Amino acid sequence: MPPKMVDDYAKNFPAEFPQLQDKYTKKSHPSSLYNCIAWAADECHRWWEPHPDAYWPFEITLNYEEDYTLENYTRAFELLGYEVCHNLDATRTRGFQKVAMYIDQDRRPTHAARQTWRGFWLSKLGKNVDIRHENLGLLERGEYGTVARIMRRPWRVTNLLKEIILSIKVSSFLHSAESKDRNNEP
Amino acid sequence: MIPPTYCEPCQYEESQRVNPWGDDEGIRISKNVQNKLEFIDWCVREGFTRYEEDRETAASTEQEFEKLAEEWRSQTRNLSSMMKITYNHAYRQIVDMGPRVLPILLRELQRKPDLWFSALREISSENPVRPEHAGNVKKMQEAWVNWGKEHGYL
Repeated sequence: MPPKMVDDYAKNFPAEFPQLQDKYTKKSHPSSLYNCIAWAADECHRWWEPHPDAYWPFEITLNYEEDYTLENYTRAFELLGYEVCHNLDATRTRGFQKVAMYIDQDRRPTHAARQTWRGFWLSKLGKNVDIRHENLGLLERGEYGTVARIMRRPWRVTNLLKEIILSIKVSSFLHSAESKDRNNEP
Repeated sequence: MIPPTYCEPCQYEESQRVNPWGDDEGIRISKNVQNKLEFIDWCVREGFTRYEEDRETAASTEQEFEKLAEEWRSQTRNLSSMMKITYNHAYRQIVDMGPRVLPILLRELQRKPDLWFSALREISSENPVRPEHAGNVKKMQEAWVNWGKEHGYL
């Protein structure tokens, strides 16, 4: 049996996300325009981080110890209407949209994922692709550490519609890009 | 290389005539003019030598940059923190290359938006990005490309 071809974007997946394997669906092309925090906050045109070259919804201290904390990231999502769930319940809760935050061994935030209305999770992997994965554990015990916080807010009609429209746009975009690639094959 | 002595016009001597083309029909020129020609010749040769050296340096800088950039892209592809992405060892080595890497960085940024902003800021000690555009990678790219054009790097 010939060895399975690995796409360039997925080359580091086995080392950085050992649980992920092929249990995900690619939802976009790689992009440096936004990161996982932005994507969890429903944006895809700017990079969210408490860093001088990035966007952050409130003033930052430019002190790594103070800015890169779970509490600071939690506050950013509170400004978007999310509230902390006092357990790590990642199941779908009717009427609520959830985000999950991952932290490393030093308790520094490493990643955020957003739940879809159907209960899947959406993650932007750094400058790499967006993926849809079934559960949060698939990105744990690797580059992103473990899930430390889950927040939720009531679904808003605008967000719901936006998500549905975006998913249609993304899938048609990927479909057209793949057809183009296939047509270009020798 | 030491440049040949450049004679001032006062050193002109009618008797010292040479024929640089080596034939009898050539133009007779004075010693002074001959010295000037030698000087121009030296400048041209020196210029070419420096041009070749500059080209070789630029090529090796470009190769070094490409190698480090590829290493950086591969190691930081899945990181979501700009802080970690720009503290990567390969990225720091690119910053350490200093101003000679500026035109390459700007060309690379012009080609494709990527997180080169910290490096550009550190090397040039400037930041043309307006505060309200921080994080908007396309606007930041545009600001830096314009800065590069204004400063003759692009």
